[in-house]
Amino acid sequence: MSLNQLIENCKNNNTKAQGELYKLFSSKLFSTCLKYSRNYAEAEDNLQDAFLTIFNKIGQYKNKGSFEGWLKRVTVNTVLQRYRKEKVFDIINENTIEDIVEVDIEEDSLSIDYLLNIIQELPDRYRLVFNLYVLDDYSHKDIAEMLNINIGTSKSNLARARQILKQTIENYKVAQSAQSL
Amino acid sequence: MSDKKHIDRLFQEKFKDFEKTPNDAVWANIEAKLNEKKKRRVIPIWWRYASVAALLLLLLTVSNSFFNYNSNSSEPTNTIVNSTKKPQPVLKTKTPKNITKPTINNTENKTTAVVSSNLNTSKLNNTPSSAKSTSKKAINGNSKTTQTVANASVKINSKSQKTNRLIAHPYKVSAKINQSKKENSNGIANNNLQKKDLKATLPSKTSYNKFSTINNTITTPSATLAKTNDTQNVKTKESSLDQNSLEKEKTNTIEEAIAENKERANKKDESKFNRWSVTPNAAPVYFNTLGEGSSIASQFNNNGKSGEVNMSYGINASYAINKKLIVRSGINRVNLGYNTNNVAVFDKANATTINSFSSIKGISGEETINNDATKSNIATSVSLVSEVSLNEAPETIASGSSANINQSLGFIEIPIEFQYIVLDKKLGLNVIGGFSSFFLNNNELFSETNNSRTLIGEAINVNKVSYSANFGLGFNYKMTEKFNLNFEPMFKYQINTFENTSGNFKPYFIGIYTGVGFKF
Repeated sequence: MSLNQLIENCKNNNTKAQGELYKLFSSKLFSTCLKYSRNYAEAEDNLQDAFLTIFNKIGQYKNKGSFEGWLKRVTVNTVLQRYRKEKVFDIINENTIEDIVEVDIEEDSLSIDYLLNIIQELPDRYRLVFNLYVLDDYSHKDIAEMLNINIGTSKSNLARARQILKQTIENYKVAQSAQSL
Repeated sequence: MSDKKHIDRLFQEKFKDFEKTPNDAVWANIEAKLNEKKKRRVIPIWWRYASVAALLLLLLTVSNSFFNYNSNSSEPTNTIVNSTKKPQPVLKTKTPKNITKPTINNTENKTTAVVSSNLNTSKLNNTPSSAKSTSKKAINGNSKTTQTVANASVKINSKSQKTNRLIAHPYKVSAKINQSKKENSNGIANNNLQKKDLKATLPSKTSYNKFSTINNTITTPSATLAKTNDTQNVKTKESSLDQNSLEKEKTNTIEEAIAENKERANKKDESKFNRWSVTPNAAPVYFNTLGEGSSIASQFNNNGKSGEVNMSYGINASYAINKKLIVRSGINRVNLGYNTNNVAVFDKANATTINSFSSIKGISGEETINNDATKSNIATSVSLVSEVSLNEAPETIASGSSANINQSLGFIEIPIEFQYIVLDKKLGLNVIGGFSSFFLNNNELFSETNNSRTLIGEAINVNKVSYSANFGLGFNYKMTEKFNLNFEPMFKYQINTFENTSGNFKPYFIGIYTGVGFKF
């Protein structure tokens, strides 16, 4: 069955087709959910909400642009909606921090699980901005609109996120080398 | 430091092809939610139909009662209208005194009627100035019988000044006519008139009076004519005879019309009589499932189960749309009970230890066990284990008390049902079909061991609102015109009483509804 046919069937609320679609895209979308969420359980919740939205609004997809791109946008929006709603952003001096500190890092064999873990541990806003800008190529302008913040705030949030990540990784390395000694 | 790179690059590279398969439970949840939505979509449709039906019913009843009221009040006036109208066409053809008719309708007074009739004749002929000529012309313009009248009046004119004045001064006519009537009316004409009056059994006095005025106007001149001219007297006799025969016909038609009207009214009264009916009823209801399965947990699918016989009671109101079809609704309280046998009951402390045995699945509780695919659907502080599966378990667990689980549900039921009457005799038969809405008002689970009954919690998978499709047969025995004894075995197939049932749990219940119906 072609993807277009599958989409058509999903538009008709065909349960089987919905299952197929889920099989095809759940892994990719779940990775997005994992990056944007605070933890695994919330990522699962977000994935569920995202797919419900997708099946609900699949009629709005008019075969323009990549279907996967559309799915991802819906997913990201679903996640943003949740964290926007919760408004527990940790905001400290966000406008004063500039990206002046060096954020280069020594490449090591850091596991993806570890990296995912430290992203998830970022404060909500930092995590969202970092994900949107670094991993999903959104501009600061887009991010500012999506999160309803200033462009400057977006920039400083990003800088802060980088610093936290760098610091965490370095601390981790130190701890590891101490352990191995 | 050669392999140092920007932190963004590090993450980008690592996450480039990052994919992770989510837990199967996520899809299970999504599927459940999607199904729920579909179900929800189905229900509003039948709600919509039901509301449309209810609205129609309401309209029907309202319009019916309105029309009934209307026809009751209008029927007597109809008879008057009919009876007053009917003689008029007869007069038209027989004595084309068209001129008098409109004036009669407008005026109640005999005399003015006559006066204005004369006036009208003159006006109609556009020569109001000279009374003599106009009256002649006017009457000549009309057909035979009026001519006789005209001739009569002309002759009266020529002979007596009284009658001359009658035409010349229309306002004095009243007295003269009355006089002439008094003088002459005791002759043939008035006799005729009285006969006619007797025959004409008109219900309305006013129309009767009007009618007699017409006769008077016709007969008085002809009576005078009888006095003055012999030859013409013959003519008038003839005409009055004609009148007689016609009057007979006329009265016949009037009588017929009245009879018809009466019949119609009676019919309406009859049909209106029994449209509404109220029936308080009570029924033993037996609850069971069509398929194997359990409403509590899948582990009980193979346990022995039995339905319970409970009671339902309530009141129905029905409305007969026509002689064959009755719509009814009402409100009923229904209690349903269901037993699951051979269940071991533990309290929570033990439950965790039991949980570690893989052979025993789905131990329930407020804490639902996450990774267990078969969650049970009750919220309770004790744990239930099917003894069927317990055979494999260690003895320590098997020592738990063996019990029956009794699930007790109470609903408020609101049915909307149609009754099609197959047989309408002293002992009647009808077929019933419809829907019910159920509103949950009692939800309890008991464990029963050797006559002790303990409340252990409630089912969490019972929907607050559910529906059933109803079918049944109705027998009724007419004790009197107003009361009948009803006996209705009903089968009600429950549509979404439970949210997640394991196995093939298709609940239904059978009720034998008995009640005494009161018609009004």
